[in-house]
Amino acid sequence: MERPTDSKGPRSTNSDVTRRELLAVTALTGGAFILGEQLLPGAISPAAAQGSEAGPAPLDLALRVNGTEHRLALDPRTTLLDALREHLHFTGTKKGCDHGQCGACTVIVNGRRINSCLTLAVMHEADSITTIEGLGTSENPHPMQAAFVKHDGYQCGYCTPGQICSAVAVLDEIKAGIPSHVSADLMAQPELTDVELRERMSGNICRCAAYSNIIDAITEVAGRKA
Amino acid sequence: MKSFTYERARTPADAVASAAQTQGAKFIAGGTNLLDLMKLEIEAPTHLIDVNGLAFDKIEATPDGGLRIGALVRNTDLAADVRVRRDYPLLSRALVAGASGQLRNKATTAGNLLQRTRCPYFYDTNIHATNASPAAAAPPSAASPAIMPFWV
Repeated sequence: MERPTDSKGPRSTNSDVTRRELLAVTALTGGAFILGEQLLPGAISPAAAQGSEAGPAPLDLALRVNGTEHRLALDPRTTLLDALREHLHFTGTKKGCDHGQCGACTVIVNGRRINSCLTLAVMHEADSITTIEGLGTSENPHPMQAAFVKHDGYQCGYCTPGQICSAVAVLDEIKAGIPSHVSADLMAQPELTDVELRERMSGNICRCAAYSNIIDAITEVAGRKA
Repeated sequence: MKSFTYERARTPADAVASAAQTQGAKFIAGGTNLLDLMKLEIEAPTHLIDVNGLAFDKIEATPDGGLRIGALVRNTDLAADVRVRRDYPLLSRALVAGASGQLRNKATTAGNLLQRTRCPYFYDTNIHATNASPAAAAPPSAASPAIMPFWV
């Protein structure tokens, strides 16, 4: 993929450091970049995240991610999120709060959205896991990904993979007739109103507050499906 | 998180026997409360027994006109069940008023009832040891003034 250029011409090789490489550097340099670490807990090494204590023997397991089976040997403490990011390198899924409150780690397991930070990888041997990488590619995006781009449904982009996985599942939940806190009539088919979408997306926090554009993107995809 | 060993229970009898034999063992279902507490080391089980494969995920009508809700029925499924929505709307409303869609897809009925307290002092790792062992309770001097009223 080509990198954007500015008015001064192509960027120098020095600025071609990816965000991931930068995170690795900030994690290694420690205190000097402490603010960076606090803002992006994903930069903490898996060993630090799990505690330094030596664990029991690794468990052999197979995870089916985006249609492909992957064999792994993992400490039982490994969350599905850490297995995806640190072991399988599906780094689209993000670590935000790591406590099930922010939704950045949302993935779709057997057709349902869950917080991958609050579940263990070993608990998902027989499951079908879909991450943002499995929804679409840059060349062939999922309609929800295309709609987020079109409607500018993000600013920094950190929460976006979780937002998109959640949004895709939300439309399926509405289709399945699952009620929400704002559904006036529990027995009626839920409506595709802004209020319904906001409530259903409330498990995904966006610190850039791109909420109204996110709702526009979801509404467009929902309209197309209807 | 403290280390632990893991097993997937095949039958309810196996799960119960394993829990009885292993000191510090805990059952795990949705895990949305237990894993949160394990990350904070407020809970530190030595062994986890995964009960997700046990067939307690049904909602069945009882002969006297009620419903029997399986321990492993997910919050989403319970809230969306047409019999619950029609005959027990308060239950449906209560479920969808809590947590988020992602959490409700994982959280189970029994796990919901077994949730630990969400009081701030319980989550404060400076003083939470007193919850595990009241006899060893330290004076609550470490507690912030904001949560002192909860102590008594």
